[in-house]
Amino acid sequence: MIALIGLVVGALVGLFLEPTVPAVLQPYLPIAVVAALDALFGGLRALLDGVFDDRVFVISFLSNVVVAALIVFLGDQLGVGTQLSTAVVVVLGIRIFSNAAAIRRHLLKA
Amino acid sequence: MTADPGRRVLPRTPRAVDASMGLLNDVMSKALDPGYVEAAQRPVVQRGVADRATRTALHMILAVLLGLVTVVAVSELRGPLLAGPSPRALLEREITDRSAEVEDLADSVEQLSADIAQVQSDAIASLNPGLFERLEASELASGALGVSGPGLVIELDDGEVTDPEDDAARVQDVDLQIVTNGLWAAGAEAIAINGSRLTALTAIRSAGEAIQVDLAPLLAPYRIEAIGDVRGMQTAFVRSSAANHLAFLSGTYGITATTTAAQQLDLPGAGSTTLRHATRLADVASSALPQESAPPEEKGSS
Repeated sequence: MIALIGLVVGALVGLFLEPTVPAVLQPYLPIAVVAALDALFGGLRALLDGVFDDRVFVISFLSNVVVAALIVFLGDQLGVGTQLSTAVVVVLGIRIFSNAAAIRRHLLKA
Repeated sequence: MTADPGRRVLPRTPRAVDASMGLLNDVMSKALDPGYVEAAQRPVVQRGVADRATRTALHMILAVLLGLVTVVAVSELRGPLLAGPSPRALLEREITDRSAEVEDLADSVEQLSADIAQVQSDAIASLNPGLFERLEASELASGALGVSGPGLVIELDDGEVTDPEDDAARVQDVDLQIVTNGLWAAGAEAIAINGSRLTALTAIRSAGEAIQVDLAPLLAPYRIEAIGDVRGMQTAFVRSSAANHLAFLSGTYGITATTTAAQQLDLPGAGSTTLRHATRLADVASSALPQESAPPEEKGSS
């Protein structure tokens, strides 16, 4: 629970402070956001499944973002940045969809 | 598996029909991070209060950081759409900046031309008064010097523009050409459009939607000032084909043209002059010999 509260607090701080991202990190933002969404939906589903765990949530969130950024970086270095990004987006997109569907089943029973 | 004649090979578990889709199935069925289930199944460890507090604080800090990073990333990605000056505003600012720069440069050209003229007259006037007189007359005729005197002012303005695509109701470059040519023919001695002096080498033409005089774009209304004998010029201009053209413009397109006489008009010089042709004097000391510095006497406008 504490992790979700912390996430909201961090989001609010970010909204108020509006810090700028260094240009070096700019290419990793889109994938990082998709990865964060995936972790967020996973956490939400776990919450509704009754198996939510702060530690797992924080670690999965962190690793998701870092790994996604790493994959983009690697892809850029190898010259297959766009292809790898597409792969990551597809996989994470499917996961987000199934988690969203599970959340929907929990909430709407349909 | 090596074949043993005495024993039958045991049938292996049948291969799943969709085995080739294993990766996709994995992604679909294990959407929830397996870590959650594992953590839920793990036996609950009893921890001390201090230990729990540290863990909670750590989770909190990490979560705050992650939320911050995510929101910052999102706002950064949405940023250019919401914040920051629009490209149009940037272009507008650049245009005004550059226009101001051009004006500054034009001012400095004028200043330098005046300096050059001063130095020139100082140098020649004492040495060779006859030559200096010729030079001054040529400069006057070529438009290099600013002049003032009575004259006519014709103001042209665009008609009602209903369709932005259709610029028939706008004053065109050819209209200005006809009017200025009519004024020259009517006996104008010097002409300026919106403060830009016409010389024998000044072009009036359109670039896109703007009319350019001497390569500088002008905006409507166009104020054409002509110095000369007011009476004679007025009469001759009314009789000319240019006056007919103006009547046609106002009748057909609603372009307004007003002609007024002015007691005092001040027209600027045309700025810098370029030396295009020169011949050596046979005897520098003599002032009687002709010198060609070739500003064409005949005036035209395009």
